[in-house]
Amino acid sequence: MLTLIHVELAKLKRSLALLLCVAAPACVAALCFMMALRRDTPATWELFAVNGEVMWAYFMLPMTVTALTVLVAQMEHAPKAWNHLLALPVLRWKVFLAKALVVLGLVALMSVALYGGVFGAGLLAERLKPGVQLTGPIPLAHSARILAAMYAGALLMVVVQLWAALRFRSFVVPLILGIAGTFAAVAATAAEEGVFFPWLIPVNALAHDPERAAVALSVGFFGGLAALVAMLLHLGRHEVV
Amino acid sequence: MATAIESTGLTKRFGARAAVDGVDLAAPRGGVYGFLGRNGAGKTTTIRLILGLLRPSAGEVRVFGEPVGARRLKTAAMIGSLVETPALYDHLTGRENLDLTRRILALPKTEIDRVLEVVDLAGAAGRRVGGYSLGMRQRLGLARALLGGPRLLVLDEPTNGLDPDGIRDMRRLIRSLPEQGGVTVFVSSHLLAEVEQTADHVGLMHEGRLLAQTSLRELKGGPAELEIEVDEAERAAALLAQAGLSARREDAALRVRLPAEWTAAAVNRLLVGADLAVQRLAPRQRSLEDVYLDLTGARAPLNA
Repeated sequence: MLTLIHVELAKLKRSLALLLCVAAPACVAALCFMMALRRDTPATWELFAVNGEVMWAYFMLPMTVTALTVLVAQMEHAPKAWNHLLALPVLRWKVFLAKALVVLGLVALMSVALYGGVFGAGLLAERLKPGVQLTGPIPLAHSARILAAMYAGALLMVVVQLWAALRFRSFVVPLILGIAGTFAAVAATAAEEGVFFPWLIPVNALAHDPERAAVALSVGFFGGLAALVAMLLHLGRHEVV
Repeated sequence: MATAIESTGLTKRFGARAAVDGVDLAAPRGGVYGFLGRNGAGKTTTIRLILGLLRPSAGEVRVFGEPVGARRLKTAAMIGSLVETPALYDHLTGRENLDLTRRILALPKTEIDRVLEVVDLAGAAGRRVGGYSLGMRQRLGLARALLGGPRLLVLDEPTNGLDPDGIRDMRRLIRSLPEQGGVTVFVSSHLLAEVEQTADHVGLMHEGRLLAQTSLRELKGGPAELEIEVDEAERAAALLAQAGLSARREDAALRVRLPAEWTAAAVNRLLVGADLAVQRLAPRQRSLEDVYLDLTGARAPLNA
């Protein structure tokens, strides 16, 4: 299994997928930085961090997951690499599990990069423009908990997107799924059923109601694990036509 | 005969359509087996069934005696393959592409140098594959199929898109593999001349069925043919038909399959006796194209 993960990581070298993983959290951090520079009144560090987390959860995370899973899957679809990869003496479900683990690893890295990027943006803004003042304690622990909950809750969304991207040779299907899911999540933010909607689950990590946040986290994480097993069973038996 | 690939009643249906229909393959060990058929004949589907990429709707396929369905990991370990276009990662170098498969097969790094030497691609191995010509990509795909020294090499249309030099190099390489390492090569092609120049054994696929399968020498044997140039070709063909001989037009000449009881002299006598001017009459060795066209019925006789 480690070999397959290593192989999947090696495929990322010089790939657009890797570039995306750097660009996505950097974009959020850059936006936070510019928003801080434009402020005339002092704001708290907590509010500043929440701004970054909201941008990430609502829009950047689902769109990045959509693009990342499509790019990873297209690496195999575009050159018809399944013909070679799945003809090798290796259990197929392991090939797909390796891909899922690498994608989840990249999303985790992006979350860590976002964490560092947002606080780095705040500190940089304070240094570059003396008028910018972020007050109160820097909520390092709280923000880490929120981002960890978003990541765990995003498992279901990541697996659903990856499943669609690996199943369909055309990138259009997973792309439409991701765009529609993100749009629906934005449009139905307050809906009670949102805790069951994969693209809205990460947003629920920010819910004021701790019970709602816990339900969303459970659905996203355990639903994601169940979806991962289902994906491996399905793709492991899928024929290469 | 010990076989490298053996299938019985191998069938693959997509909906109501049978892409492969009751194929009984028997590819002998060692040598080159040419799997011939036009595009859409079912060659690639058969290859996918051999590689375990598809599950048969009926029948089974064995590789060196092992059933592909039940023992896929074992059969896959004995096969190197190149299916359709070489599936390569353009953003990686040639060496990096090979290294991915090398890791999965748990081979030493020196194996990469060995296969690069075999396909004469060592000089370009450090370049990104995105900048490779089609010929280089095919050679790299072949190098990857050779990693680990497989007992069976399955190549699907390996000369597709190659220039004449590339085709000649690939042909030479394919021919040399069984001699060098005792590898069995199963190579599909829609190019008759290609198979004729590389294969020892031939299987002819047509509309999902295996029409014939034997050694190339045996396949090209059979009744002799006469090439006849005669004035009034239509009348000559009709006359030959009356005598029970099947003639077909090929350019300006007639081609006649000669049963054992007939000789060239007897045919000549028949035509001259009917006041036809025979300008040339020559026996001709049957080509694989002749065999293929006869078996597939793609060439209807003039006097049918």
